[in-house]
Amino acid sequence: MSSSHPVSLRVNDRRARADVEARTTLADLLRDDLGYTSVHLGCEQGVCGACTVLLDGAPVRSCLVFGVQADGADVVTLEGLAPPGGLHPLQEAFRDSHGFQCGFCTPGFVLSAYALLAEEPAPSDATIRAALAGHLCRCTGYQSIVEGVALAAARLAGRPLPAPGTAGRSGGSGESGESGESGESGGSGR
Amino acid sequence: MSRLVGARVPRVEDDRLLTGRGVFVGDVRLPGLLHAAFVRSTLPHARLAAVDVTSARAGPGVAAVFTAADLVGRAGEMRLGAPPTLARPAYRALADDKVRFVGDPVALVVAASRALAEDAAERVEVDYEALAAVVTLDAALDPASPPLFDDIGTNVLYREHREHGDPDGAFAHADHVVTLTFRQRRQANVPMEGRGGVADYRPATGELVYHAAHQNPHALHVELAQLLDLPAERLHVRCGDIGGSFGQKAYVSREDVAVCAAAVALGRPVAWIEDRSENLLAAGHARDEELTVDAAVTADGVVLGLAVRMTLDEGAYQLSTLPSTIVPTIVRVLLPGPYRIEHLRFDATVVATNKATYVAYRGPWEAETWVRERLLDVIARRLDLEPLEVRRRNLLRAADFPRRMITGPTMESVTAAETLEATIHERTFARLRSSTCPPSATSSAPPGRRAATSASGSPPSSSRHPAHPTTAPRSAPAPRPEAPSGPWRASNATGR
Repeated sequence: MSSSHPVSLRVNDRRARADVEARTTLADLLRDDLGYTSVHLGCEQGVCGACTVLLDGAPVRSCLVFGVQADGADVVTLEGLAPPGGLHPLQEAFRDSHGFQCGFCTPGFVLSAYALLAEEPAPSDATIRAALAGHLCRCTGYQSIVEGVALAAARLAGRPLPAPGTAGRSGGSGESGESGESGESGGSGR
Repeated sequence: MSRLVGARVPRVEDDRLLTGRGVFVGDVRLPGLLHAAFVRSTLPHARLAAVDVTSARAGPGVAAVFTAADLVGRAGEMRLGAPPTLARPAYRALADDKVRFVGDPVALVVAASRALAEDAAERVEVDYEALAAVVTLDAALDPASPPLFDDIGTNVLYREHREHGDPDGAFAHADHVVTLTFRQRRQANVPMEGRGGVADYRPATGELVYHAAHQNPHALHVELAQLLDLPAERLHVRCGDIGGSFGQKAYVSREDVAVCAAAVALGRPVAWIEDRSENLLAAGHARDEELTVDAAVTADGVVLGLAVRMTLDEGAYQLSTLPSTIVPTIVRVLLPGPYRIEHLRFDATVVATNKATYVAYRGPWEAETWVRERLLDVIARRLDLEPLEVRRRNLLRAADFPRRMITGPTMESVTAAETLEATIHERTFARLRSSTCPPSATSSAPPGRRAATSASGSPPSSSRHPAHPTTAPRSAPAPRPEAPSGPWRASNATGR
């Protein structure tokens, strides 16, 4: 067995640590070591986009990033987007526009849409489609997903996009979580 | 009723799926969970001379490696129960004497992680004696091709001939016979989540809980209990959130059986989460079929009857719970559709080939719609009629219902003709045509006006029926239509 490497990172504003093999992907680190099972693996080769997470604010396919590359990084998974007990405006808009059916691809779509709206509060349909082009969905036909993102943008009407884990207004980060344990109990996945 | 129809109804699962709290089969975590990887055939057709798992068993983190021999007594033979007119070869969860498609599971490795299981799977050495692969319909129909299943002795597993009405009489009265061949190639279902299962065997109680990504849990329960020789009350099938299926997760997979048998043998939970490569290779493919249709038509474009030959390529291993013959049967029954088609001859053939199993996919019998509507378009072009007018001359009207189809079912309240007219009334038809057809090609006859049907208006290939119409449609070299062109272009080869 290959040797393991310690990795420290922040996931959804909590500190996390794990020891991983050099070949372990960020997706497997998040799912198997830290318990963030919203990171869905649909292809493990960077095609489907279901495993997308925010890595230092940018959407990345976590199946194409090694766990060791995320050392010191700030990661957001879908578990960390909503404020406690509620839904993020993007999640509300996806729900209201029926922007998903089975929900397997949804984590990636929502996080890429978040990255888009963080940069461009009022995107055109063409811009939304371009931003989501790296994601596959087999249920919806995409139309309702594009509508969901546009709906979220319209409802925000130029107000700042609430940061992950917050109800908005301040735009800052949410209340700091307790430092997570390393290993299998470290996640807040379920 | 009014509270729901037309209303946006929030789904109970929405919030958990939106917040990442769904539980798909790959999310099931159990104490002591082991992970499975299959060794799969790299050849389409071969005898298994030897499977050496010695090195794999010594691999780091490996709990066990199973071959077909290791599962004897733990997993029963799989075989369809019906229909008797279909040859139904028996097979095992893991390939025993032969492999029959690229992806055929040969061995099952169980280890502490999926990565370690895959490492060990690479150390399994399989000695193949290659056989000629049977890949095409022609090869499957050729008696000289090697049979996939030696005990069956042929790759033609089913032939059925059915007649409704008087097809010979219909062809005797036809002014034209239009013949067309429709070929549907294989399609992969590709749910975003592959297949998978987590088998949780509890030796203390003798209970097996199988967490499955499945759309047909009750059939899975019945079949698994039988194959594993477990009392039904000791087996519990649990389905959580499912990342799509599209017909692919409706059956008992050989992998389900192998994984459950492994968990029972080991007394520990075993997870098998299919990756995309496995899904594309081995989870099944849909729509591999060919239909050749002769249509007996009058000079006015009235369809008197049809003669259909359908051949379905069901791949190597039959689904153990659903006979593929159900597909040609439903195609036959539904083929007349909302049209006044009174006479039908239907010959169905099912063949085995060295490909993955034929599975359902989003209306697996939808060939009947494609064949019927495309045929009407070609008839229209041959007779120089408006495609719309051909439909008007053949559609049943509301006053014709209830009506017993010649193939059996009684149709009620069908308003296809009225719907078609309403569409035209609302001008969407004209808009659709102008968006899909060049203007010059759409001007031959306005909707509702009969176009010329003179002999000169028909291409030479749609000749009047030969002298012996009762046999000619099947034996005469029925002319193929000219290559599709002009406003009603469509491809036989791809269907879409």
